[in-house]
Amino acid sequence: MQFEEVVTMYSDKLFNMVFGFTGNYDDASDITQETLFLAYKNFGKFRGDSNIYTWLYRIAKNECYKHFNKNKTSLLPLNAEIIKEAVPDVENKLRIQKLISTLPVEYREPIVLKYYNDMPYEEIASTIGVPVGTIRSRLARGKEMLEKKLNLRDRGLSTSH
Amino acid sequence: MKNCDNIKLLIQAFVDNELSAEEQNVLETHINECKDCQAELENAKKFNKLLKENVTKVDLPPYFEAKLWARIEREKSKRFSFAKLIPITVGAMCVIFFAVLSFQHLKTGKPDIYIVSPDVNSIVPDNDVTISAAFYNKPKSQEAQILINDEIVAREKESDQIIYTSDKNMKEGYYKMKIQLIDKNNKVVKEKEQVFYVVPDGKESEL
Repeated sequence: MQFEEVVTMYSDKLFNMVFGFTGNYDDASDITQETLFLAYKNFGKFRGDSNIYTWLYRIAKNECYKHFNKNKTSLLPLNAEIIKEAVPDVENKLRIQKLISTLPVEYREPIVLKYYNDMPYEEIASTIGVPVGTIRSRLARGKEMLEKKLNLRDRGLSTSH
Repeated sequence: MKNCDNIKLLIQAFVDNELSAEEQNVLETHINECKDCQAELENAKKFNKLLKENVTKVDLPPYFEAKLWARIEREKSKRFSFAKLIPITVGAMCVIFFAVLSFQHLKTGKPDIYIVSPDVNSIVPDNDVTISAAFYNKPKSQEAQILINDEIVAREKESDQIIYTSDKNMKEGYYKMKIQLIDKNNKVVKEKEQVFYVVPDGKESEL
């Protein structure tokens, strides 16, 4: 596979994953750029013993950590103006997006891969590098945490929907 | 209760279409008997729907790929520049190499003489006539000598320099001095000549 194909096939998926992970459009843009640039520089070292997206994901995750350490404000809510341009009904989306990005990393990872990258559990497990059973419980727990943060259970909003 | 905890995991996997047929049977059996888990399932379905509807997929920023490729091109040109530096570096090293060789050649080259004093056509006081010279690459086998008007006034065997100071006042007039390097057979290998003018002490400033 040529690096051009990697960019064409995975930029969008990677960007959405990082966006889900950081909750910030600009940070996601910077981190995804850096990830793909690093991937380009190290493409010769990629031995193909893991899925290419798993490889990209791990670089991106590492870049996210570096970014968080460098700039702690990146966990603040995402830029509403930019999102407003991209999607209607921004308030609810914004709120959920913000809450996902504040989940502990171990719960955020599977939720992001599930909902932003539409991955099946098996693929999430191999990308993160944990057993499928762990993904099941982390997803269940993560969703429960989100529901609590949204106060849906207390207000019965999700059930009255 | 413990059983219900396990069922909760199955419920979440169920709404994500991740249950095996066997697990689905277990879930259905439990749901039929447990109202709490039935409500949990309904809740999970709705929350899953809410999540799917509200998790917003975003488009790549404008010119994202163009920016990436521009950066990659810059990186390539940096590498290229570095590659271009290699012949330049090799060239520079060649120059240094030949310079060192030339220096070595100078060091091991032919003997030469440098007259330190007096200066060319200089006027010197009669009580302070000092002639001195230094030698480059003077082999030990060669001797140096100073001649004034073809008369040997000083000789040096070992040193790379020679000095002569007149011990008596010299007569006013032009003098021709020679510095020579001579071999074992008294053959002149190298020679330098110079002229100076001797005046009575104190008069040199008047001229």
